[in-house]
Amino acid sequence: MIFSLYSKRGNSQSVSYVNSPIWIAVSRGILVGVSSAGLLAVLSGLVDLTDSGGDTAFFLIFGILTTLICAYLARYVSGKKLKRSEIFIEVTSGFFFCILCSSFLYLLLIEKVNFGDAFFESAAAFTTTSFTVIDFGISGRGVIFYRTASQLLGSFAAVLTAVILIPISQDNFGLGTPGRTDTKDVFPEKKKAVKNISLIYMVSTLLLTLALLATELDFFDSLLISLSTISTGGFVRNKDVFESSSVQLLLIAGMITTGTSVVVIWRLLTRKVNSLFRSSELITYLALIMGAAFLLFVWSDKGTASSLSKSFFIALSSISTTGFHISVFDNWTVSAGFLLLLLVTIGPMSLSSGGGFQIYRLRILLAVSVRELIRQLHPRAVVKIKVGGESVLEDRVRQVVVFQFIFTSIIFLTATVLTISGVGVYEALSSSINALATAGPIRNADGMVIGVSSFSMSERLALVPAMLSGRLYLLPVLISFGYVFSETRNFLRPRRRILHAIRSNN
Amino acid sequence: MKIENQKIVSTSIHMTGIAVIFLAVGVGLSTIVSIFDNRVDFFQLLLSTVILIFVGSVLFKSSELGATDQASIFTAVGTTWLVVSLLGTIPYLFVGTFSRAGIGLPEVFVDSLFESVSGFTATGSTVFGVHNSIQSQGSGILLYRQLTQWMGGMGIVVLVVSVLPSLRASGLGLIDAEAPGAGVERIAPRVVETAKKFWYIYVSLTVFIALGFFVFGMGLFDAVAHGLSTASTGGFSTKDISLGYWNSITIEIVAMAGLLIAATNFTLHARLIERKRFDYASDSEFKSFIGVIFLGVLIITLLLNGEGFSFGSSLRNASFNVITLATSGGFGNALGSGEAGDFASWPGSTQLLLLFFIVLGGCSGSTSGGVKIMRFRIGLAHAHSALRSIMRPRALIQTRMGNRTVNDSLVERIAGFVVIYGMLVIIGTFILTALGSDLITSLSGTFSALGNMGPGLGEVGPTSSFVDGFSAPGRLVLLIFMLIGRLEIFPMLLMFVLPYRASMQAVKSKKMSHGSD
Repeated sequence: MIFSLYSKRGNSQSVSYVNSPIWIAVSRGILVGVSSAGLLAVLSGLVDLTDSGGDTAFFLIFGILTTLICAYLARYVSGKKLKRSEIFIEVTSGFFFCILCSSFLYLLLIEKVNFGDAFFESAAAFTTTSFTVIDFGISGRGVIFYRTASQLLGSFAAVLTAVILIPISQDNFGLGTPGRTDTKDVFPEKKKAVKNISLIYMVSTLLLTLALLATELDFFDSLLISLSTISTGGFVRNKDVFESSSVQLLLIAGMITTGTSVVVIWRLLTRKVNSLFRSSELITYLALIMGAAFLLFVWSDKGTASSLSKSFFIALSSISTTGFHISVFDNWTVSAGFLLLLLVTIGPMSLSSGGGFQIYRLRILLAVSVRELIRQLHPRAVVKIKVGGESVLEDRVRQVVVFQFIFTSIIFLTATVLTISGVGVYEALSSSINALATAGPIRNADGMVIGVSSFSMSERLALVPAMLSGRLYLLPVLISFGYVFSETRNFLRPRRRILHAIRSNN
Repeated sequence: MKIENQKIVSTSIHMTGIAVIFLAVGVGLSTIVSIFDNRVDFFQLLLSTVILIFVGSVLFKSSELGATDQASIFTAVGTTWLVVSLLGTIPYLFVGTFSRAGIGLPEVFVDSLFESVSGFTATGSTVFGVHNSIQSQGSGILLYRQLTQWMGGMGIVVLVVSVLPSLRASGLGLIDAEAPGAGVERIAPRVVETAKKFWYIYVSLTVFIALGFFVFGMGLFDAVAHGLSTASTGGFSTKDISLGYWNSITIEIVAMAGLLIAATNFTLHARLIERKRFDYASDSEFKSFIGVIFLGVLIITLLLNGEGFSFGSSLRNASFNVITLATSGGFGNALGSGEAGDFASWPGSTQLLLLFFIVLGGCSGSTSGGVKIMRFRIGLAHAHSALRSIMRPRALIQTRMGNRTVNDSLVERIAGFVVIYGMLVIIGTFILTALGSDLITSLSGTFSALGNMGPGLGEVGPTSSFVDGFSAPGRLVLLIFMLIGRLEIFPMLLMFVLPYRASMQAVKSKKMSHGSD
């Protein structure tokens, strides 16, 4: 619906008040972001009817009003085709304003919540980071559903951004998701991609909800946990559910799915099972899960079936960047903590709902290191980078290297800001890695979960840029930041501003 | 192995032979010094000298120069460093420097090897500590320890190339394989001349630094000893609390100046000395180096000042520790554990910034370690150009550094280096945490070893011993990383890859010959 809003607007004869491509992008982003939050509010209002219905009216008024206002304002935004870099700005502003709009909703609906907390909670939800600062203990079903479903919306938007804007089927640029040529059958065009990905999300959520219903959980809890799992958001209202072995096993299956590329899942749904075994990324993903779970199991020093299941759960919760809050083993070691941080940093397969660096990029980096060793011996040799038997474009390799550079820099900068504010070095590094990989929870050296609510407001806000960058695969946020920086610089230098205006007019 | 004229044809053995003779000369000098110290350790050092001369002569005389292709060069450089580091333990073992109650011979050997590798790689990490005081050692063994850093600082292979005319053809390749940075610039028409000029500058710098220390209050022996470890940006000291022993600002200033000069590209020094050209101001790497240090000192001073330290003390400690880590010197100026100069007890923010300097390192073509400013600058420039090319997809945007366009192949080389560096850090940290050290100690220890820095954070701060922070297997892992880091990763890794590849090729050809039969 949101997307059709703009296709209709293109045919209208309305006057456009915004002509600069950047401002068009920002305006469209605001409209999409705010109306998405509005539509979600309408849905949450309806869900609230299954409870006391106390918040229903508020949700519906808020949702309908914001959606209608956005639909009306959309008529005044130019339908000009934007460049890819400008669409990145649209995506970033869309995400940002969706977060902002939702934070107002929390502020108005939940008692004793300040704007900072509401903004952080909203950012954590839409970026699918498993951080929470608001106590939802006495909140109605509508609010809890809104919090949980925001994760799915954020995750869906992020995957769509990766598929459509950071191309995989066309061999253009793409700093976020590395280029691949094996996906043309899955996403032949944009509309088909939206349709197929929506289908994947709906089917997997439905299946997991039904499976969870078979355990002791009721429908609402099953739906919430399933939404949190499929979106890799990690938010649950009752953490004790993870202690049940049947729930653990189902969520293990759910997390494996959610960390798998939508391309692989689509092939599974369309019964092209044979092609799965050719996916080297999937094999690496599964091998990493097995290896990590095995190490955790060995270190757990218990050797029981439940500790094996828990090892898998913890490993998957980290690598899929879901971040479910589960207690670790009693004899937790430093190396186990480091392993979890490593898994969070690596993340799941590319084009999955998870964040992190992602396995495809890691494999490219491994190939780069091997090539460099060969080049030391044969300096003039032309060595092609191959991943899973397929050549990777040199431009794409460079972009992955740059991605690594920026990824590391953001971790370092965020950790530095946190330490300046007084957070310990270990906790700062752990927080920044989890924020950038949109994972969580933050654990200390003993494996104990550190609540983000123990952080000061400035410390929490320092995590938000990392969370947003991580969720959008760095590129859109960086491009937007670049534009803001260059525009500010032009504004501060009058001579440049005049030259820029002359160039724009020409 | 090929034998011609009753001699083994091997570049590795030939080079190792002469390197061991140089090592023997170093131990010989220490033996002479021990005579003036009431002959403490005299006989042990003398015996070490004799053994080393014998081994070196046998290796040198029984071999001649072999192939000088890329693979042989890497193997030769790697082997030389490995053998010299191993034989470097002999004086420590004979003197019994690391023997103490409660530990067996294997651990004594690990400690001796650790100190030897830490010396030759100019890392400066030490296993001396409260349990085994540096100041309780004799002058002979202490001088030997400083000399290992001095020899390793400029490079054992550079030393070998400067005296072996037969290595002329492959000399630059050898120096390049050993020298830190993104390539060696020839500063004289002949390679041997280039190597000699590097050594000339190095010796002069050592003399000046030693004079500086002597003038400002150090005794002659300590001045020379610290001159050796400052010029090499090694960081070994003859005192338990390093330069903190003197608690003198002027001595710290001499050390800082010496370290900054040693961490600057030696080509710039050569141009100044030979052509009277002051190219420092126009060298973008040097400018960035100074700029980053200045910024680091400023930020850390303000952060320390904000934590309650006086401004003067903050400025002094920030300057000293930033410079000593950015240049990979690794000296300490703390008066003891937990004192003002002990950065392991500073706030987390300053520690994280210092960790950045541990990773960063100095200029290419200098004696310092780390990733190097040049690589960081090119990485930044490349990231910038990649982002710009996304904003303007049709524009042809090249990676530029200053006024120069950076070659794509250089960018790829640096990218490969950084990727391998990152992976080694992860592997090292993982192993060390699995061996029982905490994460910050393991992470900083790995960075410190790979960057040949010396101290780290956590339990291996400037006043701590590596025995406190790491178990014996952990120290073994670290010394491997020191060697890998000193040779800028590739020679050490390829040294293990090449025999494997050769054996695989032999198996393959065997199979093929069986198939044809």
